[in-house]
Amino acid sequence: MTGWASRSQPSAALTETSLTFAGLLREIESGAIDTVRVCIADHYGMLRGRRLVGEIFASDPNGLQAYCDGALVWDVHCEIFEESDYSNFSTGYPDLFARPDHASVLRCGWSDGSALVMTEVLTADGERSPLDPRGLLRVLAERAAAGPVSTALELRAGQDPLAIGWRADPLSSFADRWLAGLTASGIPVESLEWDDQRQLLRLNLSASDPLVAADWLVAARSAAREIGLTGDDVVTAMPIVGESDSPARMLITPGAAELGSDTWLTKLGDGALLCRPLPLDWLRPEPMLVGDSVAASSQANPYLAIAAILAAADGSEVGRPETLPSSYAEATERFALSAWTRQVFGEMFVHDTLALAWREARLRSEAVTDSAAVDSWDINRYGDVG
Amino acid sequence: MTIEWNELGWVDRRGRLNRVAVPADGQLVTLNAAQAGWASVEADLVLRPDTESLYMLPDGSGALVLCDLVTPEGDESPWCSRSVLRRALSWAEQDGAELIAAAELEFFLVRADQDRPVFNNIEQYGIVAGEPYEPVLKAIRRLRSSGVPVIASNCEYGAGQFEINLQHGPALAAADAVLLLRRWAREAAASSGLGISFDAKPWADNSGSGMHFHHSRWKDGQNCFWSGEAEQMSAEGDAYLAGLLEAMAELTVLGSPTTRAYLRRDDHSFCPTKVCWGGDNRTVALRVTAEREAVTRIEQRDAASDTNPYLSLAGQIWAGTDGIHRVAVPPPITTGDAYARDDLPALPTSLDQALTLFRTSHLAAELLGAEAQSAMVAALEAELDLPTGTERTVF
Repeated sequence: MTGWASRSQPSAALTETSLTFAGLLREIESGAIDTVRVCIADHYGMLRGRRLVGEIFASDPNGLQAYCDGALVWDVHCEIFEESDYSNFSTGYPDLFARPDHASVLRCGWSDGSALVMTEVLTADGERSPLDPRGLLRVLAERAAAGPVSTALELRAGQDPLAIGWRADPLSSFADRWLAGLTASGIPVESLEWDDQRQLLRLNLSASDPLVAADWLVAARSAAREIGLTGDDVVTAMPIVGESDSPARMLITPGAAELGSDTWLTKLGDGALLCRPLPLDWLRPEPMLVGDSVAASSQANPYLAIAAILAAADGSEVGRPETLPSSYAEATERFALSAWTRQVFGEMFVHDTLALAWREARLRSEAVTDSAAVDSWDINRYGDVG
Repeated sequence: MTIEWNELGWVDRRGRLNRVAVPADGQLVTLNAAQAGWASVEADLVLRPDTESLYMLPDGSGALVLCDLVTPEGDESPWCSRSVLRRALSWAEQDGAELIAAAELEFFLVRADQDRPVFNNIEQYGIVAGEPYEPVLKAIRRLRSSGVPVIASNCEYGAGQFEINLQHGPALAAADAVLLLRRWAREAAASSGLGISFDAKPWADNSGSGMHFHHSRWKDGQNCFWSGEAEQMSAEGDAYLAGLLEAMAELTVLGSPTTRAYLRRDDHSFCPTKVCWGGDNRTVALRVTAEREAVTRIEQRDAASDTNPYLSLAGQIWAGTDGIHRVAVPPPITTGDAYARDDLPALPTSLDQALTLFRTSHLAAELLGAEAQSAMVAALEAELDLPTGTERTVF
């Protein structure tokens, strides 16, 4: 299909467009960049934050941005709820403090004059927030001394991929715009290809340090959706729209060292909820292991999915390989009953992750008549996640 | 460099910016009090440019100078909102301190042809959701080059709602920034074919919009509210806080001057319903930040986004300063969910209730003068007769 032929990035482009922190300050001074997004990732890996005037960011580049800490525990529609231990009306929804991580600076090649910086999320006491997905990955990747991680992201894009029975439009220009945006950002794309059989667009990214790999995934997914919203295409990371769809995946391939652990399957099963965090991720599940890769959902939080995979492969505890969960309920139960999840992710994170999962299950069961089918309620609720 | 201005700007009772071209013949621009929103008042007013308040027009066509409304004799007028704030500041700053303020302002971007917000889900801090509206938001952030000190924008906790953060600075300039931002943001939205609403509660089924003012007082480079210890304000900060709290109910109308403003006041809406203060707690009316000297301040969370920023801020400063002079002592801190506390005094839940308290407010009489207080009551009683939701303030 000519319109969706595989694309690759000009090799020289990246070094020209990659942005360092010093470069960011220079471009703010020159006026080339006028906006800096100071971002956190919420539980579903969606970018949240403020757009700062460039000169304001440059005047205090280590300055903390204060955001309501409910941002780390709200649901897919930013609805807050009292079952969260971390943040609720009794805690008063205080601020979290986002400290720019200068190593994460990225030009937003798809948004004129804009750059992005991810942050370390701190509590008022200056401690790492136990609910910050990016902070969790940083800790777990360091603990595991993890090697490079390769990733791929599958999406649906076109005139209306959220319509039941939708098929890709081979003439859509979205792929060109997405690739151009990522190239201008310095995100290293191995290839961008159309999988005709799965009817999905797949972005393959170069291997990198786990934190950087997750930063790229979050930015690339955000870029896709922003390009869709500002153009003529609709872009969704929803795993399936119709019953016959192949699920859109986030393929994560850890370094060879991580794959050698005996505990791999056991612990991956316990943490599978972090790779497939929403009910639709389990409606038509494909195998979680695809060759050397773990097939997380395209709507997963990349920080949490990679963290779960690295921690599962860490090999700190010997266990018998078990089957992986096959349903949302089973994934949630495994996550809830596992001592390992609490040990790795912390009691509060586990509690609130479960509160979110149980909430999604309850809301869906109340709204959908046929839980085995994709409902219009699903489209409304999950179409914009990611 | 001397900048020539070609527009005169002045603020009416409702907090709207009015603009007139500088007369070619150099004549004074005059108006009457009714034109300034005081329908029950007969008085002539003259625009007097405040050369300290000069702003570049966003389209580059010149400059605007904000004016005070003075009597034909050149005296201060009670019908001038800027002068009311000046009066509050002259009291608050008579010891040589400077009152520093900053506003956060919430609003909705609107599909004008449908009278609905531009998106239907809550997308707080949403980067993706905000991107389609960057032409508008970026134009608003660029108002910085006009002299409006915008520092950031973000999606807020309502469908189609956004927030602008303004940099702290002298209190009069902080109010000026709100005045100008509301007008120029409307023009930026219109350029993209969108509407904008600063209305306190545009739709019953969506969030309301608030205007939070942050207060601190500085003298000789030191923050008078800082105690030297984290999580604790100075005695002066506590007294200012106590003054704000004690006057909050009786001066509510200055921050919530429409019937719709009271539709914001729902429990768990993040609009305060109780007269109370707390630390880093979004359920209280006054939020105190006291981690270190540079950031120690009091955030007043009650006012609506469509209020007159000069009158609202003046009332707050007057109340806080009154607290300092009386060495007032605040009640105990409120922790946890203030909405769930039945023992705390409630803020007025209707304009009618708020007006009842305002009519007999000695602080309002001191700040505005008895004549202006009565005229304000008359103006707001007229507001009471309007069916809820029929009229939105357009800035």
